[in-house]
Amino acid sequence: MAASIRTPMNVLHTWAGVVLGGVMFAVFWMGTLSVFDREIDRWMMPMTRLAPIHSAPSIDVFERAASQLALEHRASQWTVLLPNERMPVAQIIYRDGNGVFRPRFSNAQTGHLLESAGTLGGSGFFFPFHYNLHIKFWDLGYWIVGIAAMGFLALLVSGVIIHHRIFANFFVLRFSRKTQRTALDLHNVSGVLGLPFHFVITLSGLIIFASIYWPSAFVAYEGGKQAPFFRESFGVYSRAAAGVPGSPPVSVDSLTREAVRLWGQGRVYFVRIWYPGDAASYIEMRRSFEDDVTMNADVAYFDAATGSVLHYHSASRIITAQRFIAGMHFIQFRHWTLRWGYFVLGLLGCVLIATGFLFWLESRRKKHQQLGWTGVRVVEGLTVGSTAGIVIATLAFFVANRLLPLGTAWFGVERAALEASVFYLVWIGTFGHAWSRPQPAWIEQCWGIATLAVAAPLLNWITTGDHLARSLVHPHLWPVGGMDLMLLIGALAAALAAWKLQRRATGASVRPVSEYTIELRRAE
Amino acid sequence: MPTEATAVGTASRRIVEIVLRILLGTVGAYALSSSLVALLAVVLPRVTAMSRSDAAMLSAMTGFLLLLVIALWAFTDRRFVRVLMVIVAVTSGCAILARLVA
Repeated sequence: MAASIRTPMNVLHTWAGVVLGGVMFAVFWMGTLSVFDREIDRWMMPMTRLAPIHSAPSIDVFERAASQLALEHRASQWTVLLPNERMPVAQIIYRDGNGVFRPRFSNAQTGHLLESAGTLGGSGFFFPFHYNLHIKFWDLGYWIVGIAAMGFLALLVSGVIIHHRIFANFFVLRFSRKTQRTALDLHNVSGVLGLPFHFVITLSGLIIFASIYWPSAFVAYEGGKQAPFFRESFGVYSRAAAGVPGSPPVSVDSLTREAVRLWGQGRVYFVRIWYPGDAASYIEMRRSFEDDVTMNADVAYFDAATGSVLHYHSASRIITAQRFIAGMHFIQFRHWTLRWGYFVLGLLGCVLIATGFLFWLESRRKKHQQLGWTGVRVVEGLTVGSTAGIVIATLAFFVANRLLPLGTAWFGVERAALEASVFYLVWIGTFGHAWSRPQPAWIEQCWGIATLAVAAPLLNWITTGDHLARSLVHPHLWPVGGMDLMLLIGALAAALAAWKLQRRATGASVRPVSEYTIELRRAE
Repeated sequence: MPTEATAVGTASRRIVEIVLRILLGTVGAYALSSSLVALLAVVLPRVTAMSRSDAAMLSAMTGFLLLLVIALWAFTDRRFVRVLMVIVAVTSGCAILARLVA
């Protein structure tokens, strides 16, 4: 490729990377954790560590518990998410009198409500963080993530263009004493090996929220309003509450059979009752997609009092294509090998972003020191806080989850919000630490990761009794054991990194550059 | 752009240039792709058997790839004035056309 295009591409790659890298790392890190969000839920919600049931659950069983909840909290709607392979309990989500959605879990066999989990868990904290950073004001979080995602696509393309010898250097990885060289090699290897995955995962993530990012696509709708679009494409049906009490609802179980007959296949995984107890109450059902990549949009609506069909819908081919692309991203289908693949490739994306930062820093450090510029110092703090810092914050979130007793509330703040506050405070703290102690920041934060990642499984053992020897022999505790194992492996890696960095800082290991490195340098 | 900065270009002029370039590559590129998405969304149902909801979804999905190519071009094409003119002309052209067809 002509050198003339490489130079501006290089500038774009460098600066888009530095400016957006922090958000990108957060999104990649949270996405990687979300691959195992249900398993993290089991770890953080010990009351849900139950053996899965193998027979199809009865929905009427959950209806009793949900209706009771709805009455107590004057709920305008409630939803039951039926148990599946990764969720051994049913989840009941009701919308209370203040319009807030509140989740509760219910025993999959008996329908009895479990005690409040008191945590957002992986699916309630990491997963939304991944796509909106928990910033709901004006959809700002979606837009920040969207800009970072578009930036990431631009970085992938410009990275390929500026990479001089993409094939020749395919597997070159040199662990030389020069951090700059190792960082660049790691950046190139993770970038090239992960390229197809990183491109598709980013593009598919954007496509999930296509209707948010492209309001101009709705120019054919009056006032650009999207409600009629969702009616036409996803079969969304609604009617207003009557305001007068209605007759008792029909059996939901009988309606699920009718819904499956209307769709011609599958099973129900989602049941929502709108306006429970109202004369205009109606029931919404959605078809499961755990055996399919495509997250089908099949839906059916019934009158709650009579059980008559109000509306049902199957998506068009183009909407189905969008649901397929979304399904590739959400990975809600059953496939453990692929799930681990997503996890590893997600981590590789984190390595790609972190090493990009490191290369930026190392290639400028000397010059900035000589000229007395602060750029490297500022970006180094940003790098430490947004890579090691977010990992520390995540681990602190886990530790807080095991230390705060159920039902804790400080100054009117509920336990789940307290856990989230721990995350944010610790994360902010890591930035402060990195900027105030730039020299040992990496080393100290690596030790921080190692300590917390050992503390979390220990606290899990002390507070729940599910130590590794126990969790690994009981299949229903594998999510817990798997998470404990990953934490311990992470602790080991962080301790190793801290130890190596420490040795380098004290100058204890002045080894000659290996022959291998010299050879490769000559070959260039 | 990082060509050998000639002595003529003062620092403030370069800053203005950089800010304008960033605006072109972000806001400008989004405006252009957004108008293309709008045009696609109204034209597709007329030239194919597609429903308006399908056309809206397909054009929105295409938007990301359009934006990627346009943003890369707007950031890296050296001919600044040309990029600006193309973006302004095509954006307004597509937007007007989309309104007319809709």
